Amino acid sequence: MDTRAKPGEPILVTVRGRPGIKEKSEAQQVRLPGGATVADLLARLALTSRPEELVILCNGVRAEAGRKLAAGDTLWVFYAMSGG
Amino acid sequence: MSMTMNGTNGAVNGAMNETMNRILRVDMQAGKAAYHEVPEDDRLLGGRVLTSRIVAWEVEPGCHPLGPANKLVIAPGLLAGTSAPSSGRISIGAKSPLTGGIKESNGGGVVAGKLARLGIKAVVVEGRPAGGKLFLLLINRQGVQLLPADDLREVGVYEAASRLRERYGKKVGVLLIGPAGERLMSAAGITNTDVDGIPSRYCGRGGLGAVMGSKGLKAVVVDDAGCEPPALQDPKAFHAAVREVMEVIRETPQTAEVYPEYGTAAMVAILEAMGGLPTHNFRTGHFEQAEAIGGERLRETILARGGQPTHACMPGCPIRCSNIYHDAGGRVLVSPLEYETIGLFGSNCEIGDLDKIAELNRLCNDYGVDTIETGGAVAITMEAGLVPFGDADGAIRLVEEIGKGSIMGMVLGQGGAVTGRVLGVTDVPAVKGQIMPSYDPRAVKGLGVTYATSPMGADHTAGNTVRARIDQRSPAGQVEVSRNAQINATIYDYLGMCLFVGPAVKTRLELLEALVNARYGAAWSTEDLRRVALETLQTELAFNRAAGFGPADDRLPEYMTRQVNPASGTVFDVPAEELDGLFGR
Repeated sequence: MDTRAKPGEPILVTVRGRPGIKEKSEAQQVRLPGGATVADLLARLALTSRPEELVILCNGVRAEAGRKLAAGDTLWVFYAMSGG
Repeated sequence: MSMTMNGTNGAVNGAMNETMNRILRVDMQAGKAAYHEVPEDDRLLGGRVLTSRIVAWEVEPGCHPLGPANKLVIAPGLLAGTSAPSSGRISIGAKSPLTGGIKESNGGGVVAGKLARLGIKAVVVEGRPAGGKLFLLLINRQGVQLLPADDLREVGVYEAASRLRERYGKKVGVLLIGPAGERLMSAAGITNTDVDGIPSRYCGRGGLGAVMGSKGLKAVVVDDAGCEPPALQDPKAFHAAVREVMEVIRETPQTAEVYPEYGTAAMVAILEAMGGLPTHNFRTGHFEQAEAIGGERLRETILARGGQPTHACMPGCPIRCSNIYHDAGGRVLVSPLEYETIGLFGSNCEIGDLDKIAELNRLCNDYGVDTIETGGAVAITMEAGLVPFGDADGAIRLVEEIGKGSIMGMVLGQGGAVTGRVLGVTDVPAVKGQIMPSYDPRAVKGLGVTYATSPMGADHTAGNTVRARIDQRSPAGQVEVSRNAQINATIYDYLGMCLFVGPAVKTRLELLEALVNARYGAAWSTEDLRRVALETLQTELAFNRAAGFGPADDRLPEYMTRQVNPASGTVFDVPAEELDGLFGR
């Protein structure tokens, strides 16, 4: 199935994870305009404070702010940290 | 044998805490101890830099790690005893019976600060008493005593710490081994009492508890009553730097919110998302029940039962990533319950039950074994088919064998590599004989480089790259990321500062140099700190080479270069020549 949105067509992505960003970790669906990027998603989620501290994984792979999103993408958003 | 050391060389007085400039040497064979002044030029030695230097200079690399020629070195970091936040970690070093190489393992708790207030830069324990007797070392303002401790033989650390605090006062700090250390098990650690007097902060890795046991030393009791904090050469500058560090800690989401609210268990969701959560003896990086053992569930459970989701392991820590976990009846089960334990006993053994993981954690703590090493050994036992994956009660029965000292327990207590050899399991997730912590190196390749090349063996605290802004699944650039992480980790181990301060100060490293300079009257730069860290790593690597290590030891297990982690879709493929070039071999 081709999940790519046509230009201008809204896309639906899934956002998961986010311990420490208050919300629980249940998945939530976010509708974005076609051509939206990771930065657009962060803005929609009001995660614009200290974005340099965030780790964003798109389908399990690290994604930077400029990455364009596709319909059906799953994104995980975390603060960058390590275990001890 | 009872020995009191309070002679000329060891005279103590009110000025002793002003410089933190003495090394206490304890000869267990002769039953003697003496203080030695540290030359002025060496005043900036501390923590891992000091433990590794003493081990490298004084321990024959080829010696048996549990023989009389090995030395156990206990050293507070450079900033111990001061008001610098999260700076109370203690480094313990020796030749490791687990890896056969040099080892430094560090933990939180109260002992480092107390040693610093007593003016002690390091305690060096050498030799071995005749007749298999057991002792405790009591250090206070009045002197040093080596006292019989046969009444504590085979006593678990919770009971032993309780008795020692009853005997010497609630405010003492205690370093302690459990029965596993006395039995010379290579998975044995050394625990430190925390701010509540609970022996819960482990210098767990590398089998240093067995080294302490081989010295006939059950405990070190440190009483700093009557001592003042270490003198500051520039109090105004020091306090200004402390305020700035506190400010950046408060402004950084990880240190202000995530660690305090969820602790290190927040990592479960992160590694699950990365496909790097060790599962089924590191066969995959995805665990169906990850949410049941994650940070949110841990926090909810603790709050529902009246425990503490946030707790400081050392005085003055504003991050408070620790916790106190209660059982269903509201009684304290264990403190802390942390990510590495959750990963190794949880997902890696496919146990999706925090209560069972906490019970396993408590047993390991009480016997005195490292939860990473033991969790890995239990998973290998499951792979061998002795207990099914997911059988939490079976895992508990296995760990109880360690407490009994049965043959099975003695095998598990020697760690994952030995367990694999005994049970015929060839795919053992270990480097230099030490089980990997809770990050699959095929999904987090920079950490795989650290596992392979660190002189410490597979150790996440030797240079964790999971926060790095890099494609974790690509081999490109991982060596440089690991190199920087290993140098940075060594700096924190040198200062005695918790690695979790890292996210807050990573762009403000000048604050660390300001603390050191104001404390010691030095004029160091961040580059000086990096230089000392790199020199320390080189010293450690040279020790390992002299102990017989070669390039083949700086590799991940072969199967991880062939078998795909299905959750990440990757193998470990950082080229060997890049690994060999990391520290300019």
